[in-house]
Amino acid sequence: MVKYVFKRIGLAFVTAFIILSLTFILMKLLPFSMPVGTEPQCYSYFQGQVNQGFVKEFQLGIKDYDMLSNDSEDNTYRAAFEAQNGDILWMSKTVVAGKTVVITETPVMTQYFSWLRNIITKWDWGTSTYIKVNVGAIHIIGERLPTTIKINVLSVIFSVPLGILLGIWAALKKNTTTDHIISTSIMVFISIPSFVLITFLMLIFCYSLGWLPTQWPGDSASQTDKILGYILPLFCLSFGSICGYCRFTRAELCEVMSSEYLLLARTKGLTKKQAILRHALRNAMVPIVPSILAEFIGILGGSMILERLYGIRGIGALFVDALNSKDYNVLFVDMAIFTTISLLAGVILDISYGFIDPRIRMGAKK
Amino acid sequence: MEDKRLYDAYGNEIEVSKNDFKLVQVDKKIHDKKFETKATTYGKDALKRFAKNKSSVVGFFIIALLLLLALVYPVVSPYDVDSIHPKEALLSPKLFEPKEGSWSTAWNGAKILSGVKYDEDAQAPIKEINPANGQKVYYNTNAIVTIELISNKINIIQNSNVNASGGTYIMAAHKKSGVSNLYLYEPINYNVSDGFHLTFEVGDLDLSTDKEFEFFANKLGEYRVFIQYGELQQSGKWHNYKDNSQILELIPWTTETKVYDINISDVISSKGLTELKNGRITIELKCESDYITYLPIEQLEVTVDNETAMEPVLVKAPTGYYVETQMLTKDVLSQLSLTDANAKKSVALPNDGSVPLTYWKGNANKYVAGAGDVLCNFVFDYYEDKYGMKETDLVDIKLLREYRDNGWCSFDDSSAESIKTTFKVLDEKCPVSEIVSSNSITDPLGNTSIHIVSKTVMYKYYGYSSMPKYILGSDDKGKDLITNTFKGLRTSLLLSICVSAVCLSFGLCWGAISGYFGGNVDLFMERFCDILGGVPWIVVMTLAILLLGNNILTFAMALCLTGWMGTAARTRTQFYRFKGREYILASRTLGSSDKRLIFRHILPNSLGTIVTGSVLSIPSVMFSEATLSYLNLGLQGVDSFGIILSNNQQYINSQPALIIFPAIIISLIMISFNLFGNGLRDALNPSLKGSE
Repeated sequence: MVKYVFKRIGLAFVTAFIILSLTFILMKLLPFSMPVGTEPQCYSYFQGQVNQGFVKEFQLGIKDYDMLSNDSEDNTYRAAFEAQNGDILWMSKTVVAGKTVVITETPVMTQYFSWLRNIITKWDWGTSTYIKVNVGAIHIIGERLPTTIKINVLSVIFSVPLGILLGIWAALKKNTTTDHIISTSIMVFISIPSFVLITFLMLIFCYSLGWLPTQWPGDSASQTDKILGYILPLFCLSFGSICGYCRFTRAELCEVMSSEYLLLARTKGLTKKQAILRHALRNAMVPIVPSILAEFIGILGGSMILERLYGIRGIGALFVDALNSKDYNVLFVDMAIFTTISLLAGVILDISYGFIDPRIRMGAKK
Repeated sequence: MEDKRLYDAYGNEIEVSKNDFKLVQVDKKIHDKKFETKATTYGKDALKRFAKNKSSVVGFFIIALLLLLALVYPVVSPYDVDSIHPKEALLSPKLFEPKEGSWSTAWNGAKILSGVKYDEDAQAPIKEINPANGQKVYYNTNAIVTIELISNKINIIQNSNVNASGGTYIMAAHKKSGVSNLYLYEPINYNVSDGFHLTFEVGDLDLSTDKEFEFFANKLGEYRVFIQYGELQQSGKWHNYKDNSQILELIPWTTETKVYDINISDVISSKGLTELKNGRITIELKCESDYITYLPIEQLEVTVDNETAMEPVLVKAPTGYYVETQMLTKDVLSQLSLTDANAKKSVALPNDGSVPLTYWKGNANKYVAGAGDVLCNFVFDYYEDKYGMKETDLVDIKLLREYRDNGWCSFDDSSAESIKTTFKVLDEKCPVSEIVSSNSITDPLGNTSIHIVSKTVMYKYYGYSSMPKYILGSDDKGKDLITNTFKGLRTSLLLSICVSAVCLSFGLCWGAISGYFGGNVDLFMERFCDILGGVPWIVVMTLAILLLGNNILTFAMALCLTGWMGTAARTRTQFYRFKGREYILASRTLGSSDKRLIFRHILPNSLGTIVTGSVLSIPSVMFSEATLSYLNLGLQGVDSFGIILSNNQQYINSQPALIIFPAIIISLIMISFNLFGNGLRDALNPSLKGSE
């Protein structure tokens, strides 16, 4: 078992490394955004890129430079230059007095190794190219992360007890009207897609009734608005989890309730309450607890759709922004967070299953 | 062969011969009786169990119904959703006809517009005013179902918005000025034969009690009206009379509130004159020493019988006032009389505007009381506006000829003017019911073309056979929401079913191998899944779209790329669950091959869960697609469900039906698929076979 755990964790690291490397290489193949124009800001952007090793900078003689920039006839000179040094991304002879600057692309694999070196030696994940030009991607993520975490932690605190309690209630009243009502509504609500739910809640509470703000309140909003602003995202995020926990708890508890050992517990003289509290619930919680753990990590990813629809400035919305503006460094760090979180959640889920329920042996041979 | 002997209880041998035995049956077979009932198969049993689950059956029928609608509705629907109709965009839902005189806008395609400025002359609400030339665009009066005018006249206006109108003009005289006057700026020769009339109405507006305007807390002043005439001398821009000018009194000093209608020509001829040279009508208001006096002029108008003989036309000071831009009231009257006279008496004006207009001028203080905009609230039927009869130049000569070729109408196009006179409708299908005007125009390049203004029934022009009625409205591209939703549903379902099928087949094999063999095989296959699943599919998708173009095939492929992992994981779990069971061990002991174990023993047992999962993956593919649309990475050129939902999101407040209907449909699909999937899982579970 210990060997399996170590193997699992070690492999998770290797997987994460491969995924991030693959993503980086794939992303570098996509068309990216870079500043246009010959202002000094553009040059400072490219200087940053040069420092990170993603592009190369050349200084040419004025004569060579002119040949390069005025080579409109048949492009032979430029083609020869590009064949030797990579495609030209940007060139200027005015940005620094008395100095010509030609910026060229470097091969993807060279960029990859520069990137790797930057991360290992300097923990430098690149800078933003659009959202906040030349600000570190980690810094931008750091700005956005607290909002997402706040909302999601609140939603877990809200949804776990509620979902489990509902599930227990439904299981104890199995096959009665209460159970049917709970199960049916859970069924219906779990079926409604989250964006539909968000849309409807916004339509009713924000637009028609006007009780809640129609947008996530910014920093300048009043305290009341800020608190009201939490209600809708909390509700939307919790809804799915509540339904999930409720269904899961009900199913597990029902199974335990019909087991022989619970019958034994009753026959040896325990009251129903004692039997349920001491035996049924404890056993039913066995698979529920790891799923809560996994969910707790998983929700850090937030909800892209919720953040987008409600205008929350979290990392989910950042992902969409970065994607649409082709700001790949920010996008990449954002993705790295999502990937790490999901891998971690998988590892914890797998391991905790093995620890908690000895009947399941993950990784066992046939 | 062993000899068998039988002994009785005492040990004596019993002789048994063949004859001691008798056959019970000779020619009858004693096999098991054949079942009266037919043997049930796995499929039939599943179907029986499925049919027992009422909610699943309901779910199944809802899915079937939606599928049918998705296939049939777009074909049957009279509305075209393949092309974009920007002019028909965002019409509200309509099921009933709006009733005239009713203020209800419930589901009848009408909306209440309130506080719209109303033009009393054109008798139509003003839609917009061109800021460049002041030309007004009105709402289509045909489409106004119910209208109510509200006047928001206020007492005294110093400033006013554009187009404020109405009210009473007030002349006021201050203490120190003695006499204030108002006169026609441009002198006119009052020729008796031209027939001049003066209409002058002094109102009974009493402002003396109005606290807000204590300025006027005085009384109506004493006034008179006369014509001054004689030789002029020019001083700068001004015309001044020489000292020998004379006065012809039309109304002597009085304080009466009264309507005067004076025939000026009669007054002139009664004095034995035929013409007053350089005459100037002047109103004088006397100011007493302790008061401010005022004179409310309701109407002030000079008209001529013989309009063509008149040289400079001038005529009217308005009863109300019109303002072109924001300005102080004291300048208003002169301005307005100018424009107003222009507008009112345009027939008497030369077109080139060469004749200088005159206007009321004077040294009296000027105010306007009780003026303001006339506003209106009205129920506006957008369908009538878009599809009803309209005066338009959309139908050009080319189109008109096309209609003629179809045999819908006839006309003679030998000259531009003859089109109007000879136009005749032959068939009801003809969109044009009347030609309002047809002129030939020459553009600056010298090309002549025929400009036609016609009364056109717009829905026929757009190609509908009857007035369209979008039960749930139309979206921002002018597509009927219901038709478009079902068409989107068709695309999405097709995509999801194909993707699910591919994912099921591949995921099943992958999961089976990974789960059955376990150990290192499982570990590596799982890691492969982790890696593939971990590479953000948005990046993969963007790359795929860049390489292969944004079409439905690329899209499906990209969805398949990661979609099979769910099925694989599910299959793997099921294999882990069943491969340790005793019956598998028994089968293995008997020498079953891996293939037999997988396909004959484990797979059938786990099929229920796997198939259910795959059924549920159909709506989840729809969600993935919708999510992609929300991230602006959706399909292009095809209206899929996700595109519709994300596109209509922006009208959540203004036209909620656009988002509610597709949302309901997708929720319905998800609920039905869940119900259906649950029933399917029970039905396909072989361990429940035969159980009641």
